[in-house]
Amino acid sequence: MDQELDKIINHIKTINGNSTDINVRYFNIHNQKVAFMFLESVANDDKISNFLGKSLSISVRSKKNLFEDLFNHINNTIPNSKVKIINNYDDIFYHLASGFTCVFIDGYNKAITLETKALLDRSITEATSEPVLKGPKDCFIENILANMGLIRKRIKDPNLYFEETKVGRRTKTKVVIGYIKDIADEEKVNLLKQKLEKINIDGIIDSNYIKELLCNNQKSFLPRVISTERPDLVTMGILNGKIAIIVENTPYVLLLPTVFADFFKSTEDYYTKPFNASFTRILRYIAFFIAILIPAFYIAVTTFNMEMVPSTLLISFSIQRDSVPFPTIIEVLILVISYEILREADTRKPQIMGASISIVGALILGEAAVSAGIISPIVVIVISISAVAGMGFNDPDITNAIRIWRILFMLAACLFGIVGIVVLFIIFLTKLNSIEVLGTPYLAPLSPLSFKDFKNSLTRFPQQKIKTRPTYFNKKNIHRIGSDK
Amino acid sequence: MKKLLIIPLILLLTGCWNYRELNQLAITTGIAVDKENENYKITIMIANSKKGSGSDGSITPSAAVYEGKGKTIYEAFKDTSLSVSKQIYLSHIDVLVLSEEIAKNNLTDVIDFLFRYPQTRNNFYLVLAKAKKAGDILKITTPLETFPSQNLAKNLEITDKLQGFTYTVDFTDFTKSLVSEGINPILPSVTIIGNTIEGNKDENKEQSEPTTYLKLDMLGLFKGDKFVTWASPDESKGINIINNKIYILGVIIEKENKKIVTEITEMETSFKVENNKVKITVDTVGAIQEMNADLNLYDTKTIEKIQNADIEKIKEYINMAIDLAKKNKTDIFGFGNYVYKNNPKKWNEIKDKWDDEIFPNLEVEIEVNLRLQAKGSINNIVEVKE
Repeated sequence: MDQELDKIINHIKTINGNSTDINVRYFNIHNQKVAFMFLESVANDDKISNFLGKSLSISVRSKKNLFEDLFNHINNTIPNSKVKIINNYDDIFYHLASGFTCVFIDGYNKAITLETKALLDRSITEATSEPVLKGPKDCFIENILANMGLIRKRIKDPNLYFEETKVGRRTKTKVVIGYIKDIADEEKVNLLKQKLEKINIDGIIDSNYIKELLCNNQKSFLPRVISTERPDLVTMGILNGKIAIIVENTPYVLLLPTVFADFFKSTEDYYTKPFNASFTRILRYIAFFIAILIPAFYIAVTTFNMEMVPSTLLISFSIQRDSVPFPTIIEVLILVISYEILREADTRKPQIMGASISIVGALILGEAAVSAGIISPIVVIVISISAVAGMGFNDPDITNAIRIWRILFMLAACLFGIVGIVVLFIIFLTKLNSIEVLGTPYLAPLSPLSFKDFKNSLTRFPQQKIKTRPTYFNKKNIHRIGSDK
Repeated sequence: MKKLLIIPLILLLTGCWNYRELNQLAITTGIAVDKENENYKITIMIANSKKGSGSDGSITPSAAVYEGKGKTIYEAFKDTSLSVSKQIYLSHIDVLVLSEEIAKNNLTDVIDFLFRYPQTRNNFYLVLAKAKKAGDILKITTPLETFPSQNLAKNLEITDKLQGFTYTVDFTDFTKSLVSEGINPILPSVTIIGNTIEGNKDENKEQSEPTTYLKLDMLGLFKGDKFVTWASPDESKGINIINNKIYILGVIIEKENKKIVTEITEMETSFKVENNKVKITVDTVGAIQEMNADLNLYDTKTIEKIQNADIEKIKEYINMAIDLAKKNKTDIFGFGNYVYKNNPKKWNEIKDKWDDEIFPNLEVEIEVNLRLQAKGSINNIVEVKE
C-alpha cells in the first residue's frame, strides 16, 4: 500500500472505475490529512456520523503516533463495532463492499476499518416452503450471521464449530461449514473442506450453486444434499453428525451427508406422536413408489399383461378405451406432459393468476378431454393418483426425480411390459445403491443393513427408545440418550 | 455420448413383442362347446361389447355371443374369429360349458386345446349343460349380473358355499382328477328353465320376473374322460360329504309326517382304505333350522333322538352315493387314490382290477359324530293361541 493519502484514494477509486457510491470525506486532525472512505450503498449513515463525531473529538498528544492514537481512541469509545487495521488494497475493497468505513491517514501505509454496515436483509420470517403445523416457525434469511445465530442459539455447546471460507473469484461469498467437533466425522469434514477449496467459479449466488458443484455426478436424478430453510432441521442434522453449509445471501442451508431415507422425514415427525410419525413416514414411501410406478403399471397391464387384471376391471378398462384413437402410451404421455406444463405454469405465475390456471387445467385435463374422446377416464384417474402421490414431497429435487423416473418407467412399460418395469426397477435400485455422499452409502440403513438405525429411519420410535445417533454418519459419540463415552 | 446413442437404436430394434391395445381385444369370458354332426361348435361370449350405452353417454358393458364351427377345436375358434372384429382373448374365461355329447365322447380334445393354449388361465369353472345345447347357456340374459358367464360362475360359487348338493370344479381340479391315479372327475351341471329364444333378448333381464333363467342341476359323474351318469340331489349330497366339500348342508328328517331341518355348518370328513374295506369318519356340527313337530327341545332325550335321526340320514346320503358309484364302476371319491398315495406298491398290483372288481365290492363302514349345537332363536314350536 502507498503512504500518500491522495495516491491511496486515487488507487481505490480507479480499481472500482469511479463508481458513484464511493464517498470520501477529508478532515484535518492536528494538521494531518485524514480521509474517511465508505460505499454509500452498503453503509449505514447513522453509524458513520456517530463514528465521525467520535473520532474527530480526539485529543491528540503528539503528531507522531496519530494512527495508533486514533485506533485506540476508536477502540475505546465505540465499543460495539469491529475495528481492524488493514494494509493491502484487496482487503480494503472487500471491507468497503461489506459496508465498512476505512480511515486513511496521510503518511501511513495502513488503514483503520470499522463496521458501519447498513441492514439490507429482511427480518426473520415464517418458513414458507417447508411449513409445519406445530413446531418452530422461524426460518433462515439472507444474512449469514443471522443464520449462524439461529443455529447457535439452539446448540450452546462450545464444540459447535463454524469455519469460514470464501468461494467465488468475484463475489467472494462467505461459505461457513458448521458441525459439532466431537460428533461429526473428521474425515468427512476434511473431505468437504477440500471439495469446497477446489471450487473455482466466478460467483456463488445461492447455496444451490454449492450443492451442484459438490455433487457433479447426477446420473440417478435423485438429490444428494438436503437444502432447507428450517433451523430446527439443521440443528437436528448437526446433532446427528451431519455438516451444515451456510452460504451468504441464501436463506437455504445445506445439510450433508444425506441418505435416501432423509427425504422421507419431516421435522414435523418429531413434534407429533411416534405412531403417527411412523404411519406418515411409511405413507410417504408408499406415495413415492405410487408416484413413479402407477402410470407404468397401468400401461404394462393394459398392453402386455392383461392376465393380471381381474376380469370385471379389465372389461371396464377396455370399454373406456374403446373410443380413444391413440395407443395407450401416447394417451398417458399427453396427460402427463400437460400435467407437468400445468404444474410449471402454476409455479411460475404470481399467486393472483393461480385460480385461472387451475380452472383451465381441471376443465381441459378432466372433463373436456374425456368427453372429447381423446383420453379415457381411467387414465385421468391413474395420472391424478400419481400426481397427488408426488405432491407429498416439498423438496423440488425429489419431485423432479419422481417425474423423470415416472416417465422412464412408463417408457420401459410400453416397450417390455411388467418385465421392463422390473428390470428398470433393478437398475433404479442399483443406481441408488451406488451413490455415496461423503462416504456415506445412500441407501443406509437399508444397505448396508443396520437394524438399530431402523428405529429412526423407516419408522420413528419414541424418543427414549432412539438411544443412538445414526451410525452411518459417524462412529464416535453415538449415544444420544445416556452419556457420551 | 456414444453409449447414449444405443438407447434410440434399441427402441428401433424392438418389435414390441406381445404388445396389444386393450380395445383391439375381444375379452372372452365364457366358452361353450357343442357337437353338431361331425363338427365342433364353439360359442364364445365377448364381454366388452359396447351395445349398452347409458342415457348420460356412459357406456355399460354387455355381452355379445358369436359361434363358429370346425372339425377341430382350433378350426372352430378360427371360424369364430371370422365374424369378430377384434382379437379373441381367452385369458379371462369364467366358465367353460360342455354339452352332454361332448362329455360323453370328445372331452379330451377340448381339455387338450385349452391346456395347450398359452393364454388361458386354469381357474375357470367347468359346467355341463344338462339336456340343453351348451351354446344356449351363454345366451341367457340375467338381471342380476352384467354377463351370463359371470352369472353362471358366481351362481356356482355361491351355491357351493350355501348348499350341499352342487360343487364347483375349476380347470385345475378337473384335470387333476382326470390324470391322477384312482380318482374320477365330477362336474356340476346347469339347465335352462323357460324358453331359450326368449332368454336371449334384453327384455328378459328387464322384467322383474325373467321368463327364462339358468338353474343349477345335478352332478355329473365321469369314468375317466367319459360321462356316465347323473346323481340325484341326495346322492350329490353324499358325494360332497365324502369329498369333504360341505360348507352348509340341510339334513331333513321326518317324524310322524312332521319335518325337522338341521343345518350342518361344519363338517370334516376323512376316510381310510385298508384291505378292501373303507372306513369313513364324519365329524360335524349342526343347528336346528326349521321345525314343525311339537317337540320339547329342553329335553336332552329329544335332542338326542333328533341327533340320531340326523346321523342315520347322513349315513343314508353316503350310502346312496357309494351305491351309485359302485353301480357305475367309477371311483369318484378317490379311494383308489388313497391306496396309491399310501401304498404305491400295492396300487401297482391292483390298479387294473380296481375299477371293475375291487371298488364295486368295497366294504364300507361309516362313523358319524354329530353335535347339535343350537336350537335357533326359539326353543319350541311356535304356539298359536286357541
